[in-house]
Amino acid sequence: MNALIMDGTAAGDAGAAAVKAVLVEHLGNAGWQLDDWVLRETRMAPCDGDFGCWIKTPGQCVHADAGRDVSRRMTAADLVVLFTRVTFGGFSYELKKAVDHAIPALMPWLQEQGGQTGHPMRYEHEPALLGVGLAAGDDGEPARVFAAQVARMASNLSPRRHGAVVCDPRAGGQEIGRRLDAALAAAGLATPAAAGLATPAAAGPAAAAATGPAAPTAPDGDRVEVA
Amino acid sequence: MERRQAVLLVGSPKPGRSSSLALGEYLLDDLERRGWGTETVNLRRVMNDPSALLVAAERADVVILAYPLYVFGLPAPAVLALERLADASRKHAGQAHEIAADGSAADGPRLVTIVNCGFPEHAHNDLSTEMCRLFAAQAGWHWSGALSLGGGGVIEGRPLRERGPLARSARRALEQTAAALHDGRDVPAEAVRLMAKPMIPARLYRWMSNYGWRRMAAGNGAGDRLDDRPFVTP
Repeated sequence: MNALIMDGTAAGDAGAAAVKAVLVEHLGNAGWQLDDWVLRETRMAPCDGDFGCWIKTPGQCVHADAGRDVSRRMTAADLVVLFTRVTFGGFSYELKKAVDHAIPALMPWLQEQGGQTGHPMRYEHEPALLGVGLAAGDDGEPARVFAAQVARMASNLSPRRHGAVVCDPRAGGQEIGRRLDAALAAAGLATPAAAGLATPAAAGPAAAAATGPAAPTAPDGDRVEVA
Repeated sequence: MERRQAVLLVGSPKPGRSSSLALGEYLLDDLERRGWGTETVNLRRVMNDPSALLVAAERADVVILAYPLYVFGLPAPAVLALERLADASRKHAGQAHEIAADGSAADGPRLVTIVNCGFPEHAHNDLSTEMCRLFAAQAGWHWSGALSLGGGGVIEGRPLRERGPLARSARRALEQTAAALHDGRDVPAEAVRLMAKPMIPARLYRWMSNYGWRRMAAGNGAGDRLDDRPFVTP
């Protein structure tokens, strides 16, 4: 029931604060407990590509800065929200810097998975993934590539549920809220309960049973919707 | 005729040699032999002061961006570089570019990308290539195409000539690309095909990689901790 917002927006991103406010409001109303991580306020060096997190200190970055927190906080979350300005169809520098530090959550092994090679997850727990992108025009090719990027990332991090939405900050709070709700619902993440996760009120033995596989009526985890 | 200039942007964040550098320098060396001026910029090293990057791009006829795939995209320092280059281009133009996706209205340098990934299948690179193409359209650069390589670990950061027959197709792809750029053409389809050709079979690559991880972990005294799970999950 914990949602980690990885906020990769820059201080000058037009409309980011307004969209973020709607995002926080809607996730909170849906019952998600929020861990709001503003990445631009965090001191974090880019990934060195030294694979020390696999062969020296397995499971965590060898460098003791906030990069080490990425896999820890992602692993502790039930839902990870990637909040970013759509940057050439991908993530902003601030968000990509953090996402590059996610590989300690994977094992180094290469395995064939559905006809292509991938890495198995280090943990059985698989957080759901939601990409929320900002773009002045909220459709078109960058939005398509953005959704595909989230789906591709999901294919290796193996979340049961994932989705993506691109919002135009000029659209107004009501429309942005509608798109966010639609994206959450399409990915089966409208509420923690809908995602097959416990709600705070349901904590206890019954809730433990609810954290198992997704309900059969839920949408397929492979779906990616651009609302 | 004025000497043409090619700039290699190395997107690998590794401090030493990388497969990205090995691929990019092979193309750059070929252009140099054809009389081009050349320059190499390591994107990790210019993060705090991008002036060298911006000046190099400003005077380039061709920019070669060589990078490894990180989490199905460009490594963060390469994203930062593209953000800054797009900003500079926007300021230069005095307004936001509205340019066709095919770069038909482009007035900036040609952009060629060389991407390699640690998976044996080059198709993992496709999305990152689309991002580079979108960058070119936004910045007003001419998109000249991408060379995409799977199994980049085979190169081990060594000069391509030292990789013998394993890197033969990659070398031919880069030679054909150099010839095309010299003639003012985009990356040829045949070069794309040659670069995409697997250096070794996927099954063997996976076996060698997994053996390598175990050996390196053992060398670091972590051989029995490869499966550690240091963090608590819900």
